[in-house]
Order: sequence, then structure tokens, then C-alpha cells
Amino acid sequence: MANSHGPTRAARALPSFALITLFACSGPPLPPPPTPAASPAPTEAAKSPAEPPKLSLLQMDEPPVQTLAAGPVATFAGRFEPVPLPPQMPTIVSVDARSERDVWMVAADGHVLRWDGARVVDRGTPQCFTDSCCGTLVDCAKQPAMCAKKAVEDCQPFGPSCALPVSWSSIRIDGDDVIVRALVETGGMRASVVESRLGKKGRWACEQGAEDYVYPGSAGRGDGAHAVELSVDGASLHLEGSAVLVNAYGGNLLLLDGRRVPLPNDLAYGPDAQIAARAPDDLWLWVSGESAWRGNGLSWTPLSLGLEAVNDIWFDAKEAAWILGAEVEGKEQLVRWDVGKGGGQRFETPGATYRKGDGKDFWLLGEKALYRWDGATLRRAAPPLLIAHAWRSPSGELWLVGSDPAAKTTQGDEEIRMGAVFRVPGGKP
Amino acid sequence: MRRALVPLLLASACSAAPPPPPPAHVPAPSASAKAPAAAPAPAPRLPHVELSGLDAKTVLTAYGPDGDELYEVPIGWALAVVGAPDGGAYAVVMEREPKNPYTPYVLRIDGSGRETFRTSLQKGGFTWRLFRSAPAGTAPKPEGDRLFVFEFSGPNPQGKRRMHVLDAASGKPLREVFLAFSDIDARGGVMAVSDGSKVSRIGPDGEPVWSVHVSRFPSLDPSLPEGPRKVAVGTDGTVLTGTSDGSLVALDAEGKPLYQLGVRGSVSRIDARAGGAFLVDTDDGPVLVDHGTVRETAESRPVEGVRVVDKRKGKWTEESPTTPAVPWKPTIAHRVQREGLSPEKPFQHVQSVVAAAPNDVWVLGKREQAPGEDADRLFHYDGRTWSDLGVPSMSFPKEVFAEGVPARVSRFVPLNLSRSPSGALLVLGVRVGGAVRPCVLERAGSAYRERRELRAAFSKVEIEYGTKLSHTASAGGREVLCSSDPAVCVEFGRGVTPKILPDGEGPEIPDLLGDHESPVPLKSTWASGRDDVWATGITGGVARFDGQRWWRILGIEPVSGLSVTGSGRGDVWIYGDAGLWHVTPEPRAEADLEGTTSPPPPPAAPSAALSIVGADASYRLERVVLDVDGQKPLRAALHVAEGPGGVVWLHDGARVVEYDGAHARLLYQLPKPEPFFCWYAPEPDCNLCAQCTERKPKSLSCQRCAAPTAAGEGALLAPEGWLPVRGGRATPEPAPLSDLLSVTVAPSGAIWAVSAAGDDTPHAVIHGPRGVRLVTGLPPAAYADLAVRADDDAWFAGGLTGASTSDGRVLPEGEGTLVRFDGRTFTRHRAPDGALLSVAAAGPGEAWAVGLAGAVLHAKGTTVEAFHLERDGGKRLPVILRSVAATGPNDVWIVGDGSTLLRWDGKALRRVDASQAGNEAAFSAVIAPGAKPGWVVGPGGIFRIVPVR
Repeated sequence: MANSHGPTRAARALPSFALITLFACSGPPLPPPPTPAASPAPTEAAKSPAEPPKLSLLQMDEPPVQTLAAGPVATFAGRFEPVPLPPQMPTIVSVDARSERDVWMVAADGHVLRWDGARVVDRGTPQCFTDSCCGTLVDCAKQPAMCAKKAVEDCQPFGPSCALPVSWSSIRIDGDDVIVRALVETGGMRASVVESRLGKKGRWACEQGAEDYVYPGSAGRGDGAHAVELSVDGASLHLEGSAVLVNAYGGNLLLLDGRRVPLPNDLAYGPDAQIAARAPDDLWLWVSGESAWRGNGLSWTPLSLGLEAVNDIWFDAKEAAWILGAEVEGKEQLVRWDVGKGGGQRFETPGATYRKGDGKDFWLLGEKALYRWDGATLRRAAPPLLIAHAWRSPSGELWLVGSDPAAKTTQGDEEIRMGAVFRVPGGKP
Repeated sequence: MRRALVPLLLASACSAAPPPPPPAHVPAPSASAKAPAAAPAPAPRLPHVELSGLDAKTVLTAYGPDGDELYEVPIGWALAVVGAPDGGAYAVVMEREPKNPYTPYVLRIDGSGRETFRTSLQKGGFTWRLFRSAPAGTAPKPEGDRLFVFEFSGPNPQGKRRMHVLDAASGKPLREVFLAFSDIDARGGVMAVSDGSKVSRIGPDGEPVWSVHVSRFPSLDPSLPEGPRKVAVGTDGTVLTGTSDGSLVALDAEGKPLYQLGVRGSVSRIDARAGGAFLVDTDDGPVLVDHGTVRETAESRPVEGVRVVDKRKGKWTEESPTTPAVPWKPTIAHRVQREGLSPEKPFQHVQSVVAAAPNDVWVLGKREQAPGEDADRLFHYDGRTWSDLGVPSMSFPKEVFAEGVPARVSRFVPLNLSRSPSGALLVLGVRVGGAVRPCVLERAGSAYRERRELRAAFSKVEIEYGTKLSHTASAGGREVLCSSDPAVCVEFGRGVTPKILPDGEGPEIPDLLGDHESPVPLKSTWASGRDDVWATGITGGVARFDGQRWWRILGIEPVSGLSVTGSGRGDVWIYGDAGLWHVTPEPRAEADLEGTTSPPPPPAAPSAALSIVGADASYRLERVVLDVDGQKPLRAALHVAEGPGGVVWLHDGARVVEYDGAHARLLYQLPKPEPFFCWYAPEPDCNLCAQCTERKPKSLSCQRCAAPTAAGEGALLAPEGWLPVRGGRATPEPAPLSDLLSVTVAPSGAIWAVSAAGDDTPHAVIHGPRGVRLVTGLPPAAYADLAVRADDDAWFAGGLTGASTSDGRVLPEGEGTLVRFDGRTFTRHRAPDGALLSVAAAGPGEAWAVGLAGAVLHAKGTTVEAFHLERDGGKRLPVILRSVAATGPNDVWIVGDGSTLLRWDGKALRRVDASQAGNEAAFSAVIAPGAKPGWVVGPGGIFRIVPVR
């Protein structure tokens, strides 16, 4: 029977009857139940006769709209100190350092530069060659003819096997070593990784890993597996992406103290995810430029803060989560979300796509964008260069490398931008 | 109802449960659904039309109510046809025009077979559906009737598709509307479309009259893909919509809700049937939904109306006969063990098995999925262990394979195994060099000898790469070797001059089954006798015929392409690409625990709100870190279970620790996974193929994962599956059921386990002290948990449908289900808010169950009350409730996400302070405190529940 006439006889009789039956059935006498808490009135009992049933499949709550206050963005008044480069140096593509007095950079033409605290010194141009078909490193000592100037100039990608010079795209410091790296694309199923290491005698030596298996996080042939390792509250987190051989295999895998944590089904086949954690049961997962989820170690909830794309997530002394993303491409925003209380602020940060620093003090960067959070205020800067890469020292000094937006030269038909490097001192602006 | 009133109140009051929700809403057609426009009386007898010929040359034939042919007209390339009560029809046809080679038209054939209009639709694809606005059975009117033409081609960027509205009498185009729809149906003047989470009724002008937002049941993983939403309109105007989680919602013609319920499986189609019923097709099979009542086996009649019988080539019609399925009963009388060189590395790609005796078994296959494992290897089993005998190979002298071509060396590629008449092992293969030639090696000791007498016979036959070879031998010494591509057989053997046999003179395949039909479409058979016939199915399944009936063998992956062989009764081998399984008698198999299945229950009443009334200050949490001998301390756990004597097992997904109140020791540690990687694996016709190692560890998907029966004794569910624990050691063992999600110990000491598997195999098994029993009669569902007070007082909770995730887990989804077993009958109850994840028995015949979206069910006897948690302000609190425990009817503990720790004390549901764990902790398991403190665990920590002094 439809309950179309108000509370049933059973429901109407319940409050008084409950006392009798409680006494009768529960053995020893009990104190009277604290009404009305003991007798929550069923919602349905209050229906009017004409009211249709309240089906749960028609009752879905709309996801709560997160209204965030607009965050103020002040103007950055700090100094940009230019770092003089050797003449005719093209765009600087990458920077890494041991300290503010030992900064290494690589230019688009392969020059490696070092700042020693006083000046920039040219540390040579490592030259490595791979065969044109497959990106395999050519040992020029054993095959000098392949590496001869004329043979190299005549060599065409994808053509008959000959030697092609590699172009370095990044530089890194690994202990005592300085290493430049290139990803060689020859039209095969994946790129090959070639590196050159600066030896103690100041000579560069070409290297390529021999292994041809495809590992999660591998940048290409010759590169090993890479995973994100985190530790939070005594628990270890290990996040691996897919093994990519044209297609992405295996999806993402997250281990928490050795246990595999189920991931959102959307991440089953890639793309690779990123992770940040406040606690073993407060995990934040995102795919750069795409969606984000928050997990409690058992399941995940899509993160909806009005950002179509999320690029980075980090935390501020466990109180706030910072989310850098974009409402749409070109409308980048920074959200500060108070995890404990809910709510937060939304800062307009057009152009900012990545971060250097931590929750207390960080920089947001993009090719033409630079913002500084000093722990209290977000400030927008006008960078005097097109930013290609950046390094931030432990003391907070920021090194920006890239190109001069105005200075160009030509080489044949090609227009080449001139390199530019600026130091932005740390501390309060 | 009146007679049931007093017992119901007594039951409710004695268990001190929350007041019951109102009785179920019994659906009845609404006033509007009963209106003449919505429920016309169809003409008693109507004409029908028949389509014949080919799609591109369709012939339409109309028959009058008495079956006389009215006319026959060719209508060309017909894409959609709907009949009219005057014997005419409307059709969408595709025409080929010089300017636009594919132009769709709508045409009308009147009752005499004359075409009265042909209207161009300008453009469109090849999938269309047609509906008339007028009620079925009413003849086309000269004016006012509308014809709705829906195109199902790919939607536009806004996700919308095209609908044309035409004047049904003249064919004049009236409107073109873009709508989002994945399904449409119309009947009795009611036209409904569905898409995603929306159902709309479309009015005569093509605009929505009403739209209703219909959600799915809540899911543990909201990112799981949703299937398309289906819709149908019943003969009484009821609109029924369903989707991939088995959820169904019925609305009346005015869009007002009538009822909701769940069926098992993803809804793939809904058809209106006579009398206001619906036939709902799901991937679990069809069910009839008759005014809210689900009938699983009921027959139904089609809706009366002008039928269109499509007899064109390749079309399925409702009249197509279906063969009744051959019954087969699941059994655990056979033990199934997956084989390999080690338990961690089972054989892969097993091509062939020769079982000469239980202690003399030969296998051709691969050791594992790994780089370099390209060639098949030979393995031998001596009854105890496996030996790897390497890749069968032989050196061949250079040979001229074709006239005028220099001699070349060939290499041997093994394809199959067999035995010679003398019992020697034969390795059948091909020599690959300048050509592909069959070749047979005979194993002699540890070496091989080529059966060279075949060379001449096969030298003139060009064998295709990838051919299959088979070999039979008779006791008299005659042997026949056949290739599949081309199909050629060569006779040879003792005293036989090798020769190619004429077509049709190959070896006879013995008929092992006689007149008995198999329950599976046969891939392979083997028998030790007429009463021991084994069969594997093309699409999976292993069956045994005992001379009387078929039995379904459990414990083998439901993969296609498996074959069967054996050495004799009780020694059977199943093999294929997926691996190798040894099937032997299970000495511990006991008779099934059988019960009858109750009919599906009617739709559940909407759940009532259950408020959380303040705080229960009598308990608090204490964080615990367990020091484990020689191990990293245990700081968190996903599951906790208490055994006799107070021994507690804590399971963190990678380790299981036993705690006796003073010391913690390790019972189980997940094996360290091997690195995951992929490699190039070119295969014929595949230049872009990769293979990968298995990505491990697997996720732990169980809800109740530990069942201690004593210190160091019991069973676990772990990423490797079912692990009995004996003497403090856990060892994986094959389990007859897959996707086990919960294990628990009954008072008898037996361990019960439930499965969430998506198939129709049994879903519960009992491991008792004396043996193993299947539980049969339990209705299929994705069971997440169970609670057992006795063999005749057990509860099973879960979701009607299981959702498979990409990492191999099965999540309980769809409508929640709670099943009570009283020793005779499995009685089903619906949980209207979604899948249940946990159940606890609170007393004889009484249980509490919790699940998704804050769902709480209280059952006592035959009365079940559904509640949902409510937050302040009267809104639902849709938190995931993961576990429930009870020491009695008045002491029930519920935990879940958002630091939910609740206690029902017989009077009210109160929150217990969980601030020790933070504000958003996920609690996954609870042991209610009694004489000793209780436990709450989750990924964020381990806590004792202690009384506040």
C-alpha cells in the first residue's frame, strides 16, 4: 500500500508503545528514552497524501559549489639582477646548481656555462652523435668517419645510417657530476636518451644506457625507471606511471607502505599522475593539465574547485592546500584551500604553470609570468626575459634563464633569440 | 497489514531499533497514466508488415488482420520502418544520388501499397528510428499527426543529435530539433528520450514537456564509466529508464516518480510488454518488471500493435528459436591447481599437454611472460615436481627447399605434442627455412630423433606459417599427422608407406558425448569413460559429464580457448594461452549447503532519515602503534578481526599481524613485487606490439579480510587471493570461487567466504574442519560481506551488480541487497540507497547493514527498515559507511569515511569522539568494545575504543 494518508497506524502508535515494549523485552528496567532523540520521526511519515515517493535516485544532491574569495595580488618590487653571458649566447634552456656560487646552465647551441659567484665561464660544448635510424650513440673513437664534419653535415634524419649531433635539453648536478641530457627522436616508437658527463679532467664523455626495456617513468630508450617517492607520518608512498611504448601500458600504480592503493579508474591507462600527501589518509592526486582527486587511502573524490586543469598541488604547514591550475587555458589561477575549515581564496595568476619553492615561500612561473608568495602576500612581477627554466637556491634566490625578448640574431634562415639570465635575490621583496 | 501490525511493533521495539520507515510505495499507474491519451485500447486485431530481401533491396509486404497479403512493394535501402494500423507503413530509406551519394528520405506507404510522400532529410547516417505522435492502434489522421524521425549518427560537439518532425499525413517537414538522446521510445502518445542522467518526455512540437534528472546508485569509484541510459514507454504510459548499474526508475506520463529498484547487471535494453510490463535486458539476463515487481523467469507477451517482422538476411527476429540451456551444477568435487615452475610464475601459452600417467606429464609452453620467452619449451611432471627440459630443437643439415634455390639450414619450431604407438613422446612442429615443412621429433632419452620418413610425403605441400598440427596413433602402429592450413593428412607408421590421404580420410574423431548436449559450445573434449567426459567451452567454462548429468568445474579462469586432456580418471589437465591447471578429486569436498531462493522483493520504500543525536561521551579513541618482532611497526590497518581467546588480526594490505594483547607477530607479508616493465614483442602481422610483466602487487579489494579461528590459525584474503593460515603461516591456495570479498568465522569454527563475482557461479563457500561446502541457492550478487550466527542464521550484504575496475577488482554497485538465510530459504531485501558494504548480526534473526551514501539497514525477522544518515538541516549525509559491528541489539557500532564513528545504544545513534584520528579519517573496520576495548582501524591509524572513566 502506498503511504498516501500520513503516518501509518504503526508510526502513530510508536512513541507510547515503545515504552511498553522496551520494558517488556529488554529485561531489567531501563530509564525512559530521551525523546525526541530516541525517536527520530521518519521523513516519509510527514508526506502529504498527494506527494509522490521520494526516490533516492531522483534526490541526488548537487555537488556543493565552492565559493572562494578573490585573493589580492600585489606588485612585485624586487630586483632582477642580470647575469652577463658570453657574447652571442643563444637561449639558455636549463639551469641547475650546487649553490649560488656554483650555477650551471646549458644553452640552446650546446654550450655549457658555469657561474662561479663572480662571472660566467664557458665549460665547453659536449658533442655526441647518434645514428640517424635509431638514436643509438655512435662511438666516434671507433667510427671516426661517421663523425667527420662532412658526413655529419650531410646526415639527414631517418635517412641511411649516419651520425646526427644531439641537442641538449637539460642539465643537472648529480653529486660531483655535471650531466647534460638530450632526448633523440628518430621517428621510432620512442625517443632515446643520450647524456654527456663532465669528467674530472674537464672533458665531456657521451653515455647511453644499454637497456632496451620500457620502464615506468622512463624518458626513452636507455633510461631506467623513475617513480615519485614520498614519506609522510612514517608511511612511505611510491607512485609509478605507465610504461610507454607508443601506447601507455600498466597505468599508474601507488604503493602505501607496500600496499597497492586503488586509483580512480580514469587513471587506469595513464596518463601519468602526480601526488602530494598531507597524511597517509589524505592523498592528493592529479594529472598535470587535467583532473585532480583527493583520497583517504580507500577511495577518491574528484576535486572540484572550479579548475578545469590542475598543474600542481602543495601544502602550507598542513593547514592549507595550494592548487595551481587553470579555469581555461590562459586563465591560470592559484587556489588556497583551507583543508581544516573549508573555503579559501582564488588568485588570478595568468601565465603561471609551474612552481619553485614550498608552501611557506614559493614562486609561480610561466614563460612570461612570474609571481612570488612570501608567506603573506602574492605579488605579480614583470620578468625581463622569456623564462625557459629556473632554479631556486635554499636561501630563496631565484635564477631565471631563457631568452631576451628583444635581442635576436639570424643564422642562415633561422632567427635565433639571445640568451638571458637574471638573479632575483631571496628574502622579503 | 492490520494483522502484521502488532508483531512488527514488538519486533521493532524489542530490538530497540529506530522507528521504522513508512511501508513501501506500491506503484500504481498515476491518474495521468490512466488517462485515455496515455492508455488507449488497442484494436483487437491489427495488420502487420514484413521486411524481406536484403538491406539494400528491402521488400515490404503488408498483411491484414486475418493474415491475407495486402500488398508487396520494394522500398529500396530501408533503414527504419514503422507500421501503421491501416496496413501502411512509414520508412526511412537511403537513396544514392549523383550529388550526394547517401541521402536519407522518409516515405509513406498507404494501406493499398501506394507511396503517398517521399521527403528528403537532406543528410544523415545509417541508423534511424521512427515514431508517430498518435497513440498506437489509431489510424493516421489527415492532419495533426506528427512523425518523429531520430537520427542516431554521432552527436555534434554539444552532444546532441538531430530529430525531424514531419506532418504524418503529408510528409511536410515541420521542425528540426537538436536533442541529446541515447535511447527513445514512444507509445500511447507518450514519447520519452533518455541521455546520461536525464529522461525527458517530448511533446508534439518536439520540445521537452518535462525533464527529470535521474542518477545512478552511488559508487565506490565515481570515475567508473557509465553506460548509455535506456528508456521505454509502457502500454499504460509509464516511462521506465535504466542504466549500467542496474538501476531502474519508473515515472508516470507526467514525469512524477512511481518507484525505483535495481536489477542485477547493466541494463542494455528495455522493451514494453503487454499489460504494462517491461522486459529489461541486462548482461545477467532478461527480467520482467511488471508494475514494480521483478519476475526472473516469467513469460511475457509483446505489446499489441502493428508489428514489423524483419526477415531480411542476417536480421534477428523475436521469432528466432532459442535453444534452452543445458543445466550444469557447480561442484567442488574437484580440486583445481594452477601449475608452473613456481607458484609465482605459472606456465603461460601452453600449447600442448600429453598426460601419459599421473607421474608422467609432458607440457609444451612458456615458463613465464618475460623477454626472451619466445620459443615454447618442454616441461615434464613426475607427480611431484616440474622439470624444464628446454626448447625442443635439432640440427638439420642444409637442404634444398625449392628447385634452383641454394640449400639452406632450417630450424625447428615446436607446435604440439603427441605419443607414438610405442609410447614415446613426439614433438610435432615445422622446419622453417626456405619453406615451412611439418616435422616430427621423437624424444629418446634426453635427445631427439627426427621421423624422417615424413619428409618426402610433405615435401610437395606448402604449409602456411601458423598451421596447427595434430597426430593420432592406433595400437596397430598406424599414425596420421594432419595440418590445418592447408588441411592435409599424412598416413605413416609401422609397415605403412607414408602417403597423403585423400580428402575426408583423416582420423575419425571419437564421439564422446553421443546424444548428450553440452552446456558449453565445445572447444575440446576428453574422456576416461562414458561416465567421465570432460569438455571445455569455446568462450570459457569447464564441464564434466558423469553419465547422468553435467557438472560445472570451479576454480579455472573463465577464459576462452582452453583445451582438456588427462591420463585417466581423476587426473585431468586444462590448458591454453592462459596457463595450465591440474584437476584432481577433492577429498575434502562435502555436500552443498542448499537453500531455496526467494522471489525478488518488491520495490523498497524510500529510506527514512536517521539523525545523529549528539555525542556518546562514554567512549574515546586511543591511537596504537604495534611493535612487530623484527619488523617496521604497524601504524595503520585496513581490517581487524577478533578470534577466540581475544586474539586479534590486523591487516594493512601488505602485512597481517597477530596481536594477543601483549605481543604482535607477523603472519603474512606480501611478497616483494618484481619490477614492472615492457618490451618489444613483434609477432606476425604486428609490427607494433609490446608485452609487459604482470603489474604487481594487486590491489586488496576485500571488505572483511581476516578470519582467525585461533592463535596462528584461520584464513586471510590477500592480493594473492585465499590464504589459509596454519601454524602461524599463510600460504596461498586455489579457491573454487573468485573475487572473494569477505571471510568470517561462524560459531561452529567454520570459515565462510562470499564472492562478488559477476557470473552465475555460487557466491559463498564454507571451509569447515572436515571439508569444503558450496552454498547454493544464494541469489547472485556482488556480495561484500556476511555475518554468520549459525548455519541457519546467516546474512549476506552487497550490491546487486559488480563493477569491474581496470586493476582487476570487483566493486559492489547498484542497488543494495541484504539476504537472510534461515537454513532453508535465502530471503532477499532491497537497500534503496545503494550497495551495502558490511553486515553484523545483532541477535537471533537480527542484523544491521551499512553501505554507500550513508545507508543503514536494520533487519529483524522478516522486517527490514531502511534509513539514511541525515546531517544537520535535514539534508542527506552521503558518507560511505564501511563497517558495522554489534555486541547485541542495543550496542551497534558503525564506522566510515569522514571520521564517522557512531554507536546505536538502543535509543539513539550518537557520534563517538574520533578527533584522535583527525576530521577526515577513513575508518574501514571496527570491533565493538565489550568486556575489552574495541578496535577501529583505517589507513590513517589503529585505535582502541576505550571507555571514558
